[in-house]
Amino acid sequence: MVYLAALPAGAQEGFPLNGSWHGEWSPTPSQKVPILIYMKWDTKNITGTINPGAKGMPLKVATLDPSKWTVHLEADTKDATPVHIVVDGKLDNLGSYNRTITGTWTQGTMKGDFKVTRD
Amino acid sequence: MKTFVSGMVLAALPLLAHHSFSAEYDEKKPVTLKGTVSKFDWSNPHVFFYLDVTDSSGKIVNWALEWESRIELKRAGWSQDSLKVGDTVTVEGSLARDGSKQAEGKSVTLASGKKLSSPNEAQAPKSNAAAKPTPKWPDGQVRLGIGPGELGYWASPSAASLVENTAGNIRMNREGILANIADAGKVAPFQPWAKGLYEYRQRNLLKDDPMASCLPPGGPRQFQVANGVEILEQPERKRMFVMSGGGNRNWRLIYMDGREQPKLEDATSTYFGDAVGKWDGATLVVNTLGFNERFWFSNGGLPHTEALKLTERFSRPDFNTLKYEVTVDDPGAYTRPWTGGWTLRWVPDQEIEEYFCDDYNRDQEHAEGK
Repeated sequence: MVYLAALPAGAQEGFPLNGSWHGEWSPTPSQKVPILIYMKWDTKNITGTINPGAKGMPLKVATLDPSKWTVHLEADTKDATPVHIVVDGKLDNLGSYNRTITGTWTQGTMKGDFKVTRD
Repeated sequence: MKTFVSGMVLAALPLLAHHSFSAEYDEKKPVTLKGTVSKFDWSNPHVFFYLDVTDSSGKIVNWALEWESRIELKRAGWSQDSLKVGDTVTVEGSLARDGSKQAEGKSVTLASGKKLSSPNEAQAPKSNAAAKPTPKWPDGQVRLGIGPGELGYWASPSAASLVENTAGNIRMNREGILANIADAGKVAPFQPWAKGLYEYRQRNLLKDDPMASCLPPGGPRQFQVANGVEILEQPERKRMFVMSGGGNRNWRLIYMDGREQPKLEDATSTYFGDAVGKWDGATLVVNTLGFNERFWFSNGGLPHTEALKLTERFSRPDFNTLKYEVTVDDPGAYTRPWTGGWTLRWVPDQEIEEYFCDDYNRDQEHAEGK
């Protein structure tokens, strides 16, 4: 049953960052902030949004370095005074549907580790 | 003895799965085994037999020998009666990478001296109809499939993987794994990410191949699968079907009724896409778009995106040869359109028998990961 339920999710074998990525980042060792990153390759650029929805933050910069499989993202919060977000991570388990990105999340003056897993 | 047999079965179970041979076995570690056949599994997705071998200490060790599918072995002269329990045989093969008592079979020599080889080692089948001209329909159109009263299908592609036709001779094994990874950039005009992903798959010996999870071989790969393809033409219905011998007996539909193809953004993304064909003289030209990204469109792990469009050209220069050429237009993965192709050989007087790749498939963990 688990096997049958798992299959419809379907493999995604194209651009490795495509899709929805769920996870959290840690501004402090005891704090976990949930995050959702949606990314899509438009054949030339990576587009996407951090936390899609009313306060979704469009990606202003999104790059993938395939020589090291590192990811760099930048966005601004939708606050009255926007806060700049910089995400630097490493893509792991590239051959798996549920691959991960781990690294450092910087939001204004706060900085911490993050991990997201592809849904 | 009972304990020994139980342990042997547990050890052998992971092999009863569909997977890349290169990921499981090391061609650089040949082995010769002489022993007695204890079991012969004439099964899909891969044929197995088990061999009791006396080691240097006098202990009997049971080895599992894995071979290709029944369809491929039949093409190389095997049958379900080729081996019997109790036969004394000598096997040449390649050892399993995990160090277990398992090997990929290359050839087996019976006590009578008769030698059976894996299809990769055996000579390709020769048609008895070499002198026959290209068959045609009553209206003069070339036949790509079987004619009245005939049996046969297409197999034995002349290339292991799709490669740009200007690339020259790039050495690779039958699964499309490059002999020299430095040749990756010659295979196709990759975008950087696509080249990186291709190299990653190559370095991992194609272990993440979606076909190992029994997903279909869409695109050109349908004409690379070892079990062959059959082309069924239905001129009265203005359509053709391409029936895969591998995968899970998948089929692809090509509309020949002159209909308009949907725009890429309107197409439903599927494994085989939306295909329309028309004849250009003696060449069938098929345009296909609307692919999903859940499969590898060629042996060897070439990446693609949903932007993929294919233009395929099929011709039959003689009775025994199908010429296949494909132009890949995928601006999401490649820097420009590019073309490659190969020929397939007619396998006369045989049907593609039933084949389901997940028969005996115990590789559930891998499937869940997809």
